[in-house]
Amino acid sequence: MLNDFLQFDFLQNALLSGIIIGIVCPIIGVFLVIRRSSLIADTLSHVTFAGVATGLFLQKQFSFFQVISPVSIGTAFSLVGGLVIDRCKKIFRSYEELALPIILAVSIGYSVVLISLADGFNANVYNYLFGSLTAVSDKDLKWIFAIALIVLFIILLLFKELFFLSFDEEAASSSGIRVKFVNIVFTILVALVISISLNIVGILLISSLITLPAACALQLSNSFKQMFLYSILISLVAIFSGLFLSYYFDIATGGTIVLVLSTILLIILLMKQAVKKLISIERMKVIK
Amino acid sequence: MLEFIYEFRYAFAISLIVGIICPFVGTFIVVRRLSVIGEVLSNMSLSGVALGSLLGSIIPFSFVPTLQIYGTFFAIIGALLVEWLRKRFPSFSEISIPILLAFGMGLSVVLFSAMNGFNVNIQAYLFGNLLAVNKTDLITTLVIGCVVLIIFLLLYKEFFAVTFDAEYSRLIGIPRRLIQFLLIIIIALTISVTVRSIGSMLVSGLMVLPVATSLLISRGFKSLLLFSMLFSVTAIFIGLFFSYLFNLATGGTIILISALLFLSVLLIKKWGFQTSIANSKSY
Repeated sequence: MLNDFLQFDFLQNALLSGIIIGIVCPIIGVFLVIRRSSLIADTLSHVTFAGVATGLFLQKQFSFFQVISPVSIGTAFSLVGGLVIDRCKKIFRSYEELALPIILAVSIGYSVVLISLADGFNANVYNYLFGSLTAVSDKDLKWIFAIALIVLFIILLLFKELFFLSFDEEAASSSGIRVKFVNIVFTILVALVISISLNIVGILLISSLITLPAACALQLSNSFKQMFLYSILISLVAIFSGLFLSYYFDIATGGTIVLVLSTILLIILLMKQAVKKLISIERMKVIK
Repeated sequence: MLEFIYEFRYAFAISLIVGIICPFVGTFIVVRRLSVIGEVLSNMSLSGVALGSLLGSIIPFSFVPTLQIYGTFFAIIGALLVEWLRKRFPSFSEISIPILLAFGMGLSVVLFSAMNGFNVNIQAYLFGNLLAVNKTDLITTLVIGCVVLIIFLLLYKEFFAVTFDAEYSRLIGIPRRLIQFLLIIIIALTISVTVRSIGSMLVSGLMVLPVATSLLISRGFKSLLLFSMLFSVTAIFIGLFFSYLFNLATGGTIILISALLFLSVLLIKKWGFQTSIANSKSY
């Protein structure tokens, strides 16, 4: 079992990129969750799908586009999408949350139409949607590594600003932080992270890798730093066990990772509840 | 044209029913600010459908009930889970939505891949195929659509009161929790019946987009309901026609048409508004 992972190149690539993604995604996730905008990841990943579908369609129609990978067009879409979403929210003054399902639906609808115009649904499209163990090539791995490094570097560079913004946007802006600029940079980071996680977990499941570890860590940690540590730890555990399980049972990789993450969250929540009950029982005894 | 309508008479009948109940339910969802819940419930109902078809492929003789029942059941579980998770994250209650979105999608993907990989099945359930519906689908849709409409007509006042003024409704003695639970069951039923024709990824779009469009122009609750039904039925019919004509994915075309309707109403409104301001300034 473990031998396979050491022996086959594609499994090694999957494992290595899994480690990288398992570190970058939860870091972005912690910021997103604290800022209460965890749904942005969902939206951007759907917009990325629209871009990927455009790429596939263009490849089919014009031989010129064979050079450009659909993923890069997807990234471009989510970069633009991230900047547009804020404007969309302003359309419905009293129903801000409406913008989100609309963007989700429109981008999926658009992609489905384009895909039906191109080749229809083949294995390739499903790999983009749900991820695949075999989808990471050597070249992809290098890209993933490079982009992850850039993202981490920028986060370290802007850590104080991001930290401040996440907890108190007004105070941050009044203390001279360029809120708009930092927000735009952060959205770009989210788009980049989505584009590198796309191969393994798939477009429909990326957001879970971003939000679920952060949600688990939120239950356990007492400080911001602890939250980072726990969420990275949990996501790595989930990615490893998800990769192994999906290879062993021959089931979808991304889905398995998500199910492992949800199980971890469920266990944490149930244990917390049990502990609370125990404490209250103890208290009752003391009172009696 | 007539031949086209005859060939796809089931599709047209279904789209008429779906086009009426989806915005009907959608209006209540949007007004209660639950528009993202539609996404969660549709993902959960997808995993119910996946479980149903997995059981169907394991158990040889088919005493397994229709997939819609699994879908409805899972969607209701999803709604209950949203509430449960909200309480677990007291200061970050909105995180329950992405968690369950992910869980529903992950579960359905794993279940579908457990049955000999992704086949035509999952595509039909993700993105729907309105042009391929048959008589059984029509009957299921008709029955569930009638149930939904009857519940709504019987309890219209209660739903209305709970939606707009929770306190008042409690004062006059409406069982609030029961009504809310009923609303969730209705949403779940609507989603699971629509999944077959529009696809689970696009259902919530059909519930939200027409309502959003009519939210731009309507002035009361009743006109909101009427306009959104009008928009959705129009979008579905045009989408059906276009998707047949140009051989496009039906669900996607319908959503794109309703998005176009939304956009044009938005632009007309904006343009009209600006000119009226310009006029008033000139006076």
